[in-house]
Amino acid sequence: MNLPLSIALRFFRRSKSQTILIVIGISIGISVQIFVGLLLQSLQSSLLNNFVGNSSQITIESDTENPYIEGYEGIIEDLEEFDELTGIAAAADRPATIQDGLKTRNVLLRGFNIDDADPIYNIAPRIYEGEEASGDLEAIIGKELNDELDLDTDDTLTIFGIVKKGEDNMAVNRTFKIVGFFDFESEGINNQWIITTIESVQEMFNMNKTVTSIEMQVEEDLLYEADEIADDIDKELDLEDDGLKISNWIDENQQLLNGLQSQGLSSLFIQAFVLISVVIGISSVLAISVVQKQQQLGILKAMGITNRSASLIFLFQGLILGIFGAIGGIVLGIFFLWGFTQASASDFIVIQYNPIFILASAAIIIGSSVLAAVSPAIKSSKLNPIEVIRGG
Amino acid sequence: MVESQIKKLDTQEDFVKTEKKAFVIELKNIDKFYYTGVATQVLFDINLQFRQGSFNSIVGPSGSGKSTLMNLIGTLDKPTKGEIYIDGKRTDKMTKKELAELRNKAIGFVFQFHYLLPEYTALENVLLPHRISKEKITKETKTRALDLLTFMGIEDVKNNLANNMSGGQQQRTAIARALMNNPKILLADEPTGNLDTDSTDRVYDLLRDINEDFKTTIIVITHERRIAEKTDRIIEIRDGRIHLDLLK
Ligand SMILES: Nc1ncnc2c1ncn2[C@@H]1O[C@H](COP(=O)(O)OP(=O)(O)O)[C@@H](O)[C@H]1O
Ligand SMILES: [Mg+2]
Repeated sequence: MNLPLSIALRFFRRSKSQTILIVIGISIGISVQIFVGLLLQSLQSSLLNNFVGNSSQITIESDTENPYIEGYEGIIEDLEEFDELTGIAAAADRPATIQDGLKTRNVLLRGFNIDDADPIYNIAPRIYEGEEASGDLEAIIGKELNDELDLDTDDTLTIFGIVKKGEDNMAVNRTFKIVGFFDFESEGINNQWIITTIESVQEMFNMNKTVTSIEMQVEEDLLYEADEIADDIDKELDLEDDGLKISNWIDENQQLLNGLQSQGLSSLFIQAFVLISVVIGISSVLAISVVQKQQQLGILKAMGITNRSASLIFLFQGLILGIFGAIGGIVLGIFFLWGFTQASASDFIVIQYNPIFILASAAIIIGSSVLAAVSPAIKSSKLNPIEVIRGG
Repeated sequence: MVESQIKKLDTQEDFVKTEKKAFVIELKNIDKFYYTGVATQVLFDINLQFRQGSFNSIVGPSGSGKSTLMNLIGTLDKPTKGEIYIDGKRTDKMTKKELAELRNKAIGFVFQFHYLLPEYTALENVLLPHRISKEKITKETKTRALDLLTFMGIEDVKNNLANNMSGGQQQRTAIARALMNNPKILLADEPTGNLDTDSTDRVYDLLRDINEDFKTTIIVITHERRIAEKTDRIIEIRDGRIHLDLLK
């Protein structure tokens, strides 16, 4: 074996318990870094997923007084040319009310083409009782709303709306059959949405063949490019000429994004400071080791070891501490995360053990450990054997 | 005419060369100062030559400059003034790398303290100079290391760590280690300063054997006259000057 490496290992073996303690210390530090890093990444992606994963990321709406989009099928055909889009669905939305005893509740009647809307809203798996609304005058309602209404499947619910006819407003109502109940894990949606078919809404509100919005989702790894994709669509389809406007989740959620960004930044800061303290720890441990081993170094130099080899001993020590610290830290960090998920009741955060992050962390840790060994290595290189030999 | 002059010069140079060759160590006009706030002169105009295969001792009171002199010879330190030659090559102008190689190949050190690397066994300690030379450890090198331990009478403790050996055993291991690369020169600074009389005599008998068997040039520092008497040449240093140079 390479002599400096063999000496580095011998020095460690000689003070086994001290070495083990140091590795444990480094591992704990690094486990914090791994824990914080992975937890925050997972938290952010869970947050994002909950926020925009199951909703419209790009939306086309009317830009005029008249909320209705005519010829929407042609627009959808054009949109299908965009490969970045994973879901395109038209929606016919109308504000409406329902009677709950003497109380009047405001609701949003949403007409979807179920097959198109499912990829965006992921409705089917969120129905905890009954089935999707697929026929005329069938509807599903949210959990919180039904906590108030206390309906069963196949019960009926009358929905009231207003249709504008010239200057006059005309009241309309339809009685829907409730075929299922959904839970979007959002009180707002569960309270307000009543989902039915496009045709039902179109018929009730006299909308003919129009809708009120076209909603889209983009591929997951293009989530942060939704604004650019929306711009492309805008240009390509000349939406302005048709009195339409396009919006995207990024422009509408700047605050959330800023929040996520500063959260990510603070996580980076924590990780950096943990890393710095680990590096300082390694550096001071090795600096002490140089002093502890100066007699050996003096003898080795008298025997003709080069200054380069004398410094390599401690660079290897840094490398070894880094490797074991990284392994120990990653194992511990993942263990802590596992414990965290076991202990926390909510399944809101799905921990993603991002292998790229883990490997990159390991590389940074090992690299930093070698850097931490540079100053002790220089000390070892500069150590004058005379000083040691005279010391007695 | 011109030709014969050149020839003459050649032979002169040859003469100088062989003259130097005869001396394995040569010190010329060595001054050594230490600078600790004030400059203190420790060695004064030292001129010394040592013949290949000789057994020399340096004696003198404590603080007279013996160790300083030996460290200069061993290239661990540099003279303030003067020239030092080992095997005809000037050492005080060598690079650190050249010095490391010279120490590894041509010089063996034995110190009063710091016998062995406590992380290694006796045998591993003896092998260290060879490993430092970056040459492969062959069967022959292992045999040589074992032979040296046998020569020193400590083959029984070859697998012991330093802590599990007596002081005399440790020092004999250190001598075996110093001899591993078959150096021309063995430098020993009060090697028995910490040993009892029996161990001391044992070590000196061994040094004598080494000198005779391996033709190693030995310089040993001691403050015991009795020991110095056993060597072929006694150099006495006083206040940084050569006070006596006795050749038997
Ligand atoms: N590094 C140093 N700095 C200052 N003075 C030194 C140093 N090394 C040795 N000396 C001084 O030089 C003198 C000779 O020391 P040394 O060669 O060790 O003597 P000896 O080996 O004969 O006892 C002593 O007075 C000692 O204090
Ligand atoms: Mg001395």
